[in-house]
Amino acid sequence: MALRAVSKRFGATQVLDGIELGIAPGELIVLLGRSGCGKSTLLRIVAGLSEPTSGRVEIGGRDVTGLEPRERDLAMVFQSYALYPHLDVASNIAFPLMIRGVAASERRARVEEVARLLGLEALLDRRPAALSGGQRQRVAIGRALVRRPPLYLFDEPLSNLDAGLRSRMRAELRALHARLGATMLYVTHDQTEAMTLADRIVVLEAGRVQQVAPPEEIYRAPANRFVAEFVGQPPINLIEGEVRGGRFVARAHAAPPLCALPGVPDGACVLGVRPEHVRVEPDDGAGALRAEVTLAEPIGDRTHLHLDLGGLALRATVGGRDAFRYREGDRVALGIDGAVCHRFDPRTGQRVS
Amino acid sequence: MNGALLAAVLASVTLWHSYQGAERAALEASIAQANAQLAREAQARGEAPVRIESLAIPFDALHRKLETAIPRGHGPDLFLAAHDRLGDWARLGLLRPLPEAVAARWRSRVLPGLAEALTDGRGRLLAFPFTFKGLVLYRNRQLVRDAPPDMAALEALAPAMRARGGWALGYDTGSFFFHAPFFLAHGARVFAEPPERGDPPPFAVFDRRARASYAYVIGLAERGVIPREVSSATLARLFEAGRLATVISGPWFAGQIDLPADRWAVSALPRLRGRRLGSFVTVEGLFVAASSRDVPAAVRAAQALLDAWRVRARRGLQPPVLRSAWRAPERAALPPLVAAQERALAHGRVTPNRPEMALVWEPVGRLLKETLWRGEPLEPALARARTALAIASRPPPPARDPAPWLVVAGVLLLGACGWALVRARRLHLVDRVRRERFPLLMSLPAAVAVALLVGVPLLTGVVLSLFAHVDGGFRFVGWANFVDLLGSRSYGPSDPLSFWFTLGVTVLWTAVNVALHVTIGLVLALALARTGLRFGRLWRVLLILPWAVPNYITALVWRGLFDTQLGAINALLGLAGLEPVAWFQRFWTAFGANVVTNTWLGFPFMMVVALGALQSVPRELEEVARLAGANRWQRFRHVEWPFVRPALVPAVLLGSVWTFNMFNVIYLVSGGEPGGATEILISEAYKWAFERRMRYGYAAAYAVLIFAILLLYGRFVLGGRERDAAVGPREVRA
Repeated sequence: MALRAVSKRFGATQVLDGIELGIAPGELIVLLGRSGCGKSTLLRIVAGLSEPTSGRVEIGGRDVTGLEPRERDLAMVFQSYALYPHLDVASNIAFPLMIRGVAASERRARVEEVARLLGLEALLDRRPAALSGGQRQRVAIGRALVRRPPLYLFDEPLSNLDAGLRSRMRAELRALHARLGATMLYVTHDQTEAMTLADRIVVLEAGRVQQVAPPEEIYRAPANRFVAEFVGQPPINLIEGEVRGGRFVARAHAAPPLCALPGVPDGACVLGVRPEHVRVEPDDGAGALRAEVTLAEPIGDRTHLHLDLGGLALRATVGGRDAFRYREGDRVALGIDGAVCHRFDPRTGQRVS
Repeated sequence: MNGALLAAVLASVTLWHSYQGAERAALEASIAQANAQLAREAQARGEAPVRIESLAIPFDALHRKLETAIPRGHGPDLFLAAHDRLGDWARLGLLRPLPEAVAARWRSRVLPGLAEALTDGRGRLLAFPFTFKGLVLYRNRQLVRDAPPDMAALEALAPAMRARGGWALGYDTGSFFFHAPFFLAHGARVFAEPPERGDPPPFAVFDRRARASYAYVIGLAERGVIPREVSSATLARLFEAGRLATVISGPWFAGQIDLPADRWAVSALPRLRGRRLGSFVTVEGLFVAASSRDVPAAVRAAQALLDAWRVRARRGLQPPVLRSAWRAPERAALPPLVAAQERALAHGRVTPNRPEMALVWEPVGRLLKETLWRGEPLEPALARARTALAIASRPPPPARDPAPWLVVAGVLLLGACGWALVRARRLHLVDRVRRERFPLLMSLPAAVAVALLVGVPLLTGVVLSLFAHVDGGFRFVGWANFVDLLGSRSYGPSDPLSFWFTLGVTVLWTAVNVALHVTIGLVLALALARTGLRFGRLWRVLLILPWAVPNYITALVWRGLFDTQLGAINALLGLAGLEPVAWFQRFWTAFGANVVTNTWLGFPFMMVVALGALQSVPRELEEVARLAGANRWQRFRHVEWPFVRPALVPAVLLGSVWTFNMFNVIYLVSGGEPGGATEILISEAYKWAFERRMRYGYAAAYAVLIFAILLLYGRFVLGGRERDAAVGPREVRA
């Protein structure tokens, strides 16, 4: 399926602005962005629940822009699950089949198959009110699966679940995708979901596509400041400054330079350093960059450190043997490897290679 | 209070009346004259003067106020009222008969017939004749320049009037009161001793001479002299429009005509075969109330007031009662409307005031409507009318000994108390009351209000249904009312006036209405619930509007729209080249008119309920259905309906109860026409209580049965709802 120059306005508000996107069959694409970035609107346009102001939607090479949802042959899973409270689980799952007039015996067979796949066999005659959040979510997914359409749409399906359940469902979804081999378009604001599930991630902001790339590339080569900042936990350090004679000097921090950038021409620059790329060692008095730990946040396998480098605030992550090594007030020596840093144009925010 | 003021208060005579407009102004002017006269007399005798003080009371309230105030001693000294309730008031002891000397003098002073109407069975004059009202002939002067001398002159007018889509003469053809001129002209009488063959005693309203009068007016209708169907409400409009050359009506009709004074005129009723038509005449009496503290003063004041009649005749257009007023030259000075009424009395008669008179109006009116309005043959209609009169005049059921009933009631009451005590003990009610004293105290006013406003009338109604109202008192009759009703003793089950027929109509009426209310309300709610509907709020307000208008106003508007002669609906049919429909002459059209009116009134409630429920349907549920491929009907059936249904169940229950008892629409739109066939139980009960000789016990039996039916229905519907709550709406099985 493909989106061609899709735009959407609500009155004076431009919600989507010229979205171009092509999806290969069998691909799992995650639309990632903050709330209000237009990702759900985009999904609803694909589903046919909402009309684009301009542009085209193609599914299977066919222009479906003006078609009703039922003519598009797709299924959608809603954040609220949208289960029918007056129907039991079996009827909820069978609902799309019943609407299409599928014979009762076949309906039953298909529901049982889906129930087996999702582990819902024991719950088939319960009402949604008698189910847990995870069970409801599985019923909602079952309802989408039962018709076996070539395209599935997921609108933040996991955001109403608690953390443990969410990670389990993530894994189940991934496995499901592998088994079905269907095309899926998945909307989330959660970067972990995006990174773990996606074949490719589409980062949306202010109605525009910021970057379309596999998770690794999103992380390793963010296309601009927004993507760099949005993906990664804790967030990347973005430091304004300039390159002078192959070295980066932060603006808020007179000297010494933060790192070497051999071969980079002089000029203003925003340097992006992921916290895990800030090397932290006990202060032996010899290093050029010496900072103070203002806050240490241990989370088990690693610790997030908030550092004060002569007035410049930096985030760093230490792990392994160093996980519990540093405390607030400790003085540390820092090292930054220029080779793994990202550089962005201070005016446009675009990546500079 | 100083002495002079006290004397003035004691010496004032209070007068209650219900006159309005010109009649009231004329009465007040004549009171001023009478007071001046009283002052002169008092001065001549050297006594303190007596003054008349008047109090105007709305017509509807006057009778009730008299009946409650006089026995308690705060009634008036004098009051003015029509003669027809005389018998009741005498029995209730509200009146003081006039002293014999005074009565003898007045009997000889007033026009013949008037004093007799105010005289009781023992020959006592119960009131001073004050004025009277009779029927006169109004004519449109552009169509008839001079007063038509006789019916032949009116018949001669008929062809010309027919050519312009009108008639020579109009009157309320469905009412015995307005038929009376023809009735009396044929020498017929209401009561006969002994009655002729066929009529139940002591009536003569269907005898040979009466029959001739009915045949005569049927002939008039067949020759196109009078319209077949016309109600009093449309007479004035037809008269103004020049479609009626003349109209027979009472003095009140003058106030309803919206024409310049030179375009119409009044004369005495015409002659029929040389004999002038007269009418039933209502006499207004000036009564001395039993509550009067100074009867001689009240009698003096009353006579002074009667002597000041000229201003009332000229300004209030009230015919004077004194013979002297009708001699030359006084007579020449009286306005034509006043003079014409005297002719109605001279050739007619005072409306009989025997209690049995109340039974005559409905059967005769029904006969006239069947034969004139619907063109049914006279003989079978007469037979039906005789039966109806016989049933209405049947003596009440015999008295029963209430003792066994009291014993049973006592045992039941004791049992209920015992059961309540056991329950209270088991539920530890005393402890709970002690713990929850404050909340219980707070709900006490509401509980008392419900007990008084619901409990007491309910209990009264149930008890009343075991009694019969006989001559102002109540007689215990046990089950007799129910046996009569349920056993169809009065009318066969297929007769429109039988309980079972009316029950069938009521059930049909309720089912059709509620089905239409729900369907229309639901469709409109679905249309309004659509997001992005243009002028959505405006539509919503417009569609709720029928609900905001008081239902009797709506009913009257629709009654006007369905009017045969002047209604907008027949006018539209005419524009479309169709024949006008006499809506209230056939059962299905009359029923349909009622249903249309009540549907107009009822759908907004269902619409509001359904709209509320629809707005609680989560948007995603709709979208899931759209994605699944559901069409509009499937989306409604599987998504919206399950949400709307639980809200509609109580609404349907309420709507059914309201419709089952929708008195206003039936009473005001079809009025039960044709022949009581579109009557529902509640309006039938009303007729038994207030239009057929006050058969309160019989009407109460209707009310008890209505209550029982609705109670069972409510249990059934709500029972179904509880089952629903247990298993939910109908399942869509996989």
